[in-house]
Amino acid sequence: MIKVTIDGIQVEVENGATILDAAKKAGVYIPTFCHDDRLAPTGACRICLVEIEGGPPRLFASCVTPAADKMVVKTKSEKIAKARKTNIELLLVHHPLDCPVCPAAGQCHLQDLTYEFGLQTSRFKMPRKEKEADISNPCIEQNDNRCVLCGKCIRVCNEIQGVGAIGLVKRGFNAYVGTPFQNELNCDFCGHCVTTCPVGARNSRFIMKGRAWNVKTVNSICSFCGTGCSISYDVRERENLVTGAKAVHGLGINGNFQCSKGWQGFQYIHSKDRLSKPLIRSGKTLSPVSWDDALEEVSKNLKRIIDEHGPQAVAGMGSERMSNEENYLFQKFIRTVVGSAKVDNILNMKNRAVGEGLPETLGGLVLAPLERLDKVQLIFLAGADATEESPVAGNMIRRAVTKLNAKLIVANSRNIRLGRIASQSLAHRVGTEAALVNGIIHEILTRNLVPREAAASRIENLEELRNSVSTFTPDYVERITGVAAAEISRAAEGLASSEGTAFLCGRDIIGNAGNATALEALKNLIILTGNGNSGKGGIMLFREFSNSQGVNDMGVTPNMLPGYQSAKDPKVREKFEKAWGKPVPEPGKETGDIIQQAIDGKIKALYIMGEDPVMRYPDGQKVREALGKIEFIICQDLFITETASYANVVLPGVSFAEKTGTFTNMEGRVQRFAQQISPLDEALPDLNILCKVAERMGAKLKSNISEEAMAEIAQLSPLYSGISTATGKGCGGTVSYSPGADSKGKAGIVSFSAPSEGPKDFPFTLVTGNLLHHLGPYSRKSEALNAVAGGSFVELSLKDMKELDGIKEGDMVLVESPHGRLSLPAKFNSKSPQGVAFIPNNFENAPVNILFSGNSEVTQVRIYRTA
Amino acid sequence: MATAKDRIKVLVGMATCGQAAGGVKVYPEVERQLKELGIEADLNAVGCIGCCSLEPLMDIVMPGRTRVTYKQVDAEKVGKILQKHIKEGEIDKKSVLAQMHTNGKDENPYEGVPFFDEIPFFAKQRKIVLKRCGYIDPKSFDDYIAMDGYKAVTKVLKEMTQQQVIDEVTKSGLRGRGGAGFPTGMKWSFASKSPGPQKYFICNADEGDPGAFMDRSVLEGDPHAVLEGMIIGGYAIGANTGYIYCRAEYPLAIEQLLVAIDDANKHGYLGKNILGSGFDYQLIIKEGAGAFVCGEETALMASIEGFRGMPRSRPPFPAIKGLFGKPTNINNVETLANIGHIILMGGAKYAEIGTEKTKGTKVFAVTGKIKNPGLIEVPAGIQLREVLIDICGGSDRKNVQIKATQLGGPSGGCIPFEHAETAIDYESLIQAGAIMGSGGVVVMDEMNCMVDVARYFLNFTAEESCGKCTPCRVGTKVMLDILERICRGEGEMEDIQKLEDLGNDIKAASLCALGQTAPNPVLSTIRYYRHEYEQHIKDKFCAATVCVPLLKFEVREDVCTKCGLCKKPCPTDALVWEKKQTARINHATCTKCRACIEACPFRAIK
Repeated sequence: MIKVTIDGIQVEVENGATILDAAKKAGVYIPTFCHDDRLAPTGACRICLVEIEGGPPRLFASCVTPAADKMVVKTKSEKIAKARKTNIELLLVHHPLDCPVCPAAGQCHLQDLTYEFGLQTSRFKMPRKEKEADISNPCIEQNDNRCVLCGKCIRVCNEIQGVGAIGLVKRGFNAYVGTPFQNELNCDFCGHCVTTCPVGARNSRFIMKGRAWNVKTVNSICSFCGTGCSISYDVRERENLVTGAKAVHGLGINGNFQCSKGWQGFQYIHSKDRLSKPLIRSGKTLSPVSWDDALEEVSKNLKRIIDEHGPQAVAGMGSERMSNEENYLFQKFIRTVVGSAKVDNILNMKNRAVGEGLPETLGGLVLAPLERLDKVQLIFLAGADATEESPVAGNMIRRAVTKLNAKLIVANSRNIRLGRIASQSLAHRVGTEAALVNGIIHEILTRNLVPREAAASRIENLEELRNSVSTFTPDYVERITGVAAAEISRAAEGLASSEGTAFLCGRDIIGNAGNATALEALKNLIILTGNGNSGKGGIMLFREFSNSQGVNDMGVTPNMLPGYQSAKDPKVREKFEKAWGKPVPEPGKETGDIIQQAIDGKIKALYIMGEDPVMRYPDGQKVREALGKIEFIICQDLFITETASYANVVLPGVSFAEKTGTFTNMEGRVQRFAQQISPLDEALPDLNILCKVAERMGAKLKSNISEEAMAEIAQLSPLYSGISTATGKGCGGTVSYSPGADSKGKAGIVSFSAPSEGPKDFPFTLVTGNLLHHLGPYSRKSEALNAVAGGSFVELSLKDMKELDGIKEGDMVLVESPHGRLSLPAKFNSKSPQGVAFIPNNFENAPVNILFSGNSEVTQVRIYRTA
Repeated sequence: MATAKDRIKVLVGMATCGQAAGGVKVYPEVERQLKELGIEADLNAVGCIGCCSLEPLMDIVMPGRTRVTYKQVDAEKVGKILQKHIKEGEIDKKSVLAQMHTNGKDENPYEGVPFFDEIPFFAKQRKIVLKRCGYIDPKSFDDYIAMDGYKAVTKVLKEMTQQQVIDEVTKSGLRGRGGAGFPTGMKWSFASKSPGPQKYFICNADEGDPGAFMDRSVLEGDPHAVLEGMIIGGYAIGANTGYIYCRAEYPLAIEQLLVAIDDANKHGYLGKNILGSGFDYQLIIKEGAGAFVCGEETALMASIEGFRGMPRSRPPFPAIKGLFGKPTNINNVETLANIGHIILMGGAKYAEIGTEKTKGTKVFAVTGKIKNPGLIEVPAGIQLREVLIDICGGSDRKNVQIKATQLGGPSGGCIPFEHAETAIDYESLIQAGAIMGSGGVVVMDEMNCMVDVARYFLNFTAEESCGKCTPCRVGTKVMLDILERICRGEGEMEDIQKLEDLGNDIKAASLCALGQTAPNPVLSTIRYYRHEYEQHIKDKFCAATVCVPLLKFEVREDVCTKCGLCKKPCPTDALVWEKKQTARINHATCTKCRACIEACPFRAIK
């Protein structure tokens, strides 16, 4: 600690603290401009000048000058006041002073400082800059006339987002913020430069912020991916509009990070495509009707079908993007009001192991919190293109590697972006993750990289594990996976010697059931390397949607009631029956795949709440056939999604901004999102809709208030018993899927069969995934996100493009699998290794799932040029 | 077999100045003539001895005789000089400049040829840094060794501890020659005490002041001396890697450095375990990309790190947190070229040269309105007048007097000729409103407008400001704008006050030395030549006949001698003159290019 005197006030500060820090501690105000607590100080604007007694006669920028012991600082003097004022004057010399039309007016730091310093006129007359605003990129407008070159946009892009897309171009008075070589802006469009700009120099081309005094901010949770970022939304109350979104320093798990969906994805709330009234099908068209008519239609048909075919002819599909409370009430509705056990969600339908089987799968492992990434020595990222699928979590990985010196091993079948900063990239063949991990375990065990004693203390059945991996020699694994034996050895050494490794698993491993063995193998590796529940490392599972985790926690699954309590257990059923006052159906043989049952004619009515199986179910042909066979389909959603176009009744729900509730993120963290505006048009909060439908059916679901629903959940599910509902916002607590877990684990025995060679006439392996800018049907309703990423494509390696008849970027090609075909423009991407093609799953006009079959989102395809 | 001493030697000045003056043509001509005349001689290219106006220079050494330097040699003269000197043993008196003393007692001089120390340009100089420049072949490792090369490194690595080296440099009183004058020994001691296994030593060779070429000449003429300074410095502070940040506009300097580094590596003065001392040291050249601000040490380091060359705030100083965040020492070329000499002669001996607070010698590049421009090295404390008049021969025009001298380039200030008795040392110069600077001396005469001079330097700094901090980025531009208005005759009286006021704010508030010194040329010209500013503003009059919008382009009949010298340079035939007639300017075709004004020896055109 050092002692510093600021304006006569003595304070003690840490060694390394700046004069500004010391002044803050002393309660002395120093005006700042380019300073930002999130960013490394730069000392560019020279507003925060102070004098150091006994130092050189010049003035020092307090934000960047380290305080020294016994330093005596003056923050107020005639000289300081004059220099500060001159600086403001200089910043205004070329500024357009177009405050009436500037989006930053009222929240502009330059405006505030000008007012604070009481400047009336400038002594200096110079021509104002008159440069056209730069709109050469899809969504950011840059107005250099207003720019004061504080450099915050450059620094936030570089230091926080780790992108470095912009920098200063030219020198002196001609300097401006630009891109390398004046190329078109090539960035992630996270908008952090825009939300950080203290003046109106950087703006979204799609969002009209609104005047600061007309805007209130509401802190809430982002409605897109499973990371669960906190976002501060701007709301124009008078007009009932959400007008802006940004991450806020120190708020939520994301802290400073924000991504393109978090920034502009919310635009779907006010999309012109939002449903304003319920719709009923007559013939081929869906026509608007009153709520009364819609509810009548729903209840009449459900009752009729239950009467005619029994309650098991009705099924329900919950949603990975709707709240815990809504999902809870939904399964309660299906189970008690309809009386059917057939309730499910797409994640669970894809891979039960990480759906209703999660606690069993984890087998005692505790999900590690994301903040642990900041503390681990090594990160093992398997089967996840993190910066695309969960960009903020991806950024946390990047920060851990580039700023906090963690090492990174990437195991992926594609050359993902994080591979560039990885200490090792294990580029394996599609679907061979299990063999790769077993190869690593084999190396660790045969070379005793983890000492025998330690291994034995961690794994009960060590010998069994040893035997099970005995065939996975490096050479064998190299043949299977394509990863060099030496690389496998090196990875094994790194994993064995690291004291604390975070293992992150993504969609390639947990997204489809076919790869369940990979997760099992990875678990063995986690336990073997001492990262089980030691608190130093651990396992993290990426979740696709905001509530992919919660929908399963809520029992929107056929075999588990809320909190993973088995519906087959009479005692459990009895507990719920008592609480719900209705019988709870026992899952029987028939509670398999709803889609298959529909094809078999066993499902006559399907209630889909906030889900789009037509786009999301892995087997696109099958789901379309199934929906075609169902007599009566109810869809509850914001839009006429691909699925809703099959519906007989569409009930307009509301967006996350128009209601409140909780999402459970990938860590098991339950976070409350706050209502920002009142429901638009005639749309109703989804809890209300469920209650109203139940009422028409002659039942009562007790409460349409989210807090009360959560109280009921907490009461019935030990998993959620500790979750607080009292706090109106933020995190209510974290769920543990392995309560009372100890650190000793039992190895699961992994059998592995190499993926069979595809048929020779389908030479490419096709994989899919989400793009950075899109997720689910809603992101496609954001004008801004569509401007950045507007259409589908098939990504190929440069070599493949050459060999395929010299295809060039943008050429139309036909992608054909044994199950279907799609015509798409070709796109070069260095991510794709030779022989692997990628089509994003985000575009409804190019539904990639029609190429897949079964439960796998990988298939073999052939590709031709068509134009 | 004849040893090197027995052979005839011919040496041609091939530094950038020599090449530009025609050395590139002289050199091959010498080669051809030697062959034609059947003379067996060693032909070498050497650096610059400083008298730029007399280039191209050619030296001839006959075995056992003194070395004779010929001036302003062109291809035509070469054959004649060689023939006479070598074949006939005669000196071409018209072309000879001087002969050099040889160290031996029984030197055999040519009669009637002055020795270098007898001609005024060299008489008052004291050459330490420039001792070898122009004398040795910079590409020859043996030449360097023959003149005590690497003796200092050998002494340091074999006999001295790191602390002893620092003490010796401290004792010498050497201060940074880059401009700021920070004591070198103290700088080294900071870097040496800064903890950490990885340290860097940087040579700042990003010489950028307009009119300055001291460092270039040293690098081109004696590159090993700089290397030697870097090796000693690197050893003293505990660095294992040195960077030479050299501006890319110095291709010859870079070429010489590359050869020198290669030779030093080959001979074991660089690399692993130098001279068996256990000291490892490598040198890397980093070429600058043409930004003046990269001469500022923090910007320079950012540039080496691969970032845009922008300064960062100090403290922390490089000695604590420098290149790649590691303790780093940065010295200028000339500072480093002194080190070897200090080690060999001893710090105390070196400190005998100069004044109480400024020790040793200083190299200056003298340019502008001066008879003998060039590169000189003088002992500190010498009067400015001695440099301007005694060494450089005063004004280059008969009827025009020297008005002022700009020292320290765009960061410095001007000293009126009336103050020419000012001693050249750090403190006296600051007191006079200028700075020692890196050594650029621009001489101005009555035909230099001081407002225009200020505008010129401000234009330079405003262009070269990196754009990071507000006062420098906008402030210099605002000042420039005001100066331009004054030069156009659109100034207002309060502009002078504004310039002073804003200038002082920029100095106090800017982030780096570029901004902190940028207003100096303006402030010092206002200090000494306020009346010129006032004339421009009030009378719309530029006495120096520089500011075109204020000129009438009329011939003063009372002054015109009817000589007609003004007619020839006029590009549009706007100047009407016939013998015995006063000249007249036709305003319809005059483009106001000022060629006639520059041509008139009597200043008859206003």
